[in-house]
Amino acid sequence: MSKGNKVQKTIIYAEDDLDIARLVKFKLEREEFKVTHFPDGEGVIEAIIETIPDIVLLDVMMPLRDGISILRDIRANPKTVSIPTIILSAKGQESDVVKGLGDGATDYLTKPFAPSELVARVNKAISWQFLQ
Amino acid sequence: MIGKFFNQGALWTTTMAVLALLFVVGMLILYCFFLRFVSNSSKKKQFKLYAGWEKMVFQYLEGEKTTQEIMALVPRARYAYFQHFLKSYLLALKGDDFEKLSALVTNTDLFSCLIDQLVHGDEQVRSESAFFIGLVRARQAKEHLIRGLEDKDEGVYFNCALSLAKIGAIDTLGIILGQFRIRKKPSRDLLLSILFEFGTDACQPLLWYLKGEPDAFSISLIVDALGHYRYYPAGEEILCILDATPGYDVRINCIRAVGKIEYLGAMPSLRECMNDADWRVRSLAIWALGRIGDDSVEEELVVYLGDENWWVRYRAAEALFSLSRKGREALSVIAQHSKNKKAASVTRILLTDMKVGG
Repeated sequence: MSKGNKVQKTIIYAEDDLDIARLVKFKLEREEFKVTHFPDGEGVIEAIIETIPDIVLLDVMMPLRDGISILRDIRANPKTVSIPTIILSAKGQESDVVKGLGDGATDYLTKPFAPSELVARVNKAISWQFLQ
Repeated sequence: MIGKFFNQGALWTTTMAVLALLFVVGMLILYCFFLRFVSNSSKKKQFKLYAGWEKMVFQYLEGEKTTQEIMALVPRARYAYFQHFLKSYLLALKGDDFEKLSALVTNTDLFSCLIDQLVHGDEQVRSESAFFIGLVRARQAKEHLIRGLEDKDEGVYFNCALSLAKIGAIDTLGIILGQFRIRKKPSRDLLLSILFEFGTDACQPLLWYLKGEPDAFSISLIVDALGHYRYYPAGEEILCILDATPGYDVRINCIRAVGKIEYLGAMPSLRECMNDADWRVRSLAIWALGRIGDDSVEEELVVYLGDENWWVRYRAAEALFSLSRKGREALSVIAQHSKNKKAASVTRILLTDMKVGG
């Protein structure tokens, strides 16, 4: 999909808080992203391998599968290893952030969060990816 | 004849009992269906309402709708639903979007509704209202929340105090502590969560209150909070309490606090506590010395590797390990060559734990 000459960036977003997920999706879609949302951890890694999105957003605590184990799978697969992945979590202790970044997250955002900041970080992560 | 009559009578009674039972079960099943129907229709109604509000509120956050336009969609009878709808967003967001959502409550009729609910007959309504006022950081509700502290219900008191902490009303700390003291069933976690919500701003007034606090339970909690924030100026006062109080709970909290604060002046008192008859006091004093001390306490700690209590021995080994390289070397020697089996055993466990834990 494209709008004008601009290629629409794709995002896979896993979040079990549906209210927040809809708001984040709304905000990102306003910024011309194409967002595919998953309400739990099931099927997320398969979708990432199949579609190779421009960026992945993961909540940590989700039913069926947690975000950190999905992140590890992303980094373990040569096809997906370089996809920027942002963790968006209520677990905001220093040790949680260090663990998330240590497992290969591109960025770590703690809840409560400002949606505009999330959009800015998504844009930054994608830009860095292109620069590399 | 009599036997036959008796059998018929018993059969009739049993049949009637079974029928009555079936009737009751049938009624219960019907009642369950009715409840499910009511619940489903209520959820459908709620879902429909929320879907309509969601679209408008998202546009409001983008600056495409005004507060008045949103509130025109929400009749007063639906305020409770709207409050519930906003709650998850207010909990998860910060920044401009949070401020906008907060304004949707504080600058509209919804706010006066929340204030009215603070004196509602149902304590659940009062409690939720108090919580919500804090959630939207409605500073203008301060006086109402202070009145709510006197509520007979624990939940209302707690949420009023928590909301006062959220709006940063540090001057109400004395009233919160006073009300806490006269509660019938004070909860430790309850007051601590309020004190933590105030943040480090509470340290200075807490120290002031600690000096005049008569209640041992409150002293323990204040000391715990000051230790949590590692508020160094409180070290001297906590030490005075530790030296003057025989009560176990207060002493334990004082030792933990001076340990967390790493208050150097506490070394002599902690040395005395290492000789306490209670193993819990001994182990905690050793833990605190491990944080504050230097290599001058190493010899004393080695003695406690042979303490009668396992946990005291472990804490002593842990303290030696964290104090210095010399302490770690001493532990290696003890693990391999000590004739004291207790000391050698606990030292080996500690060294293995430290290798596993990194």
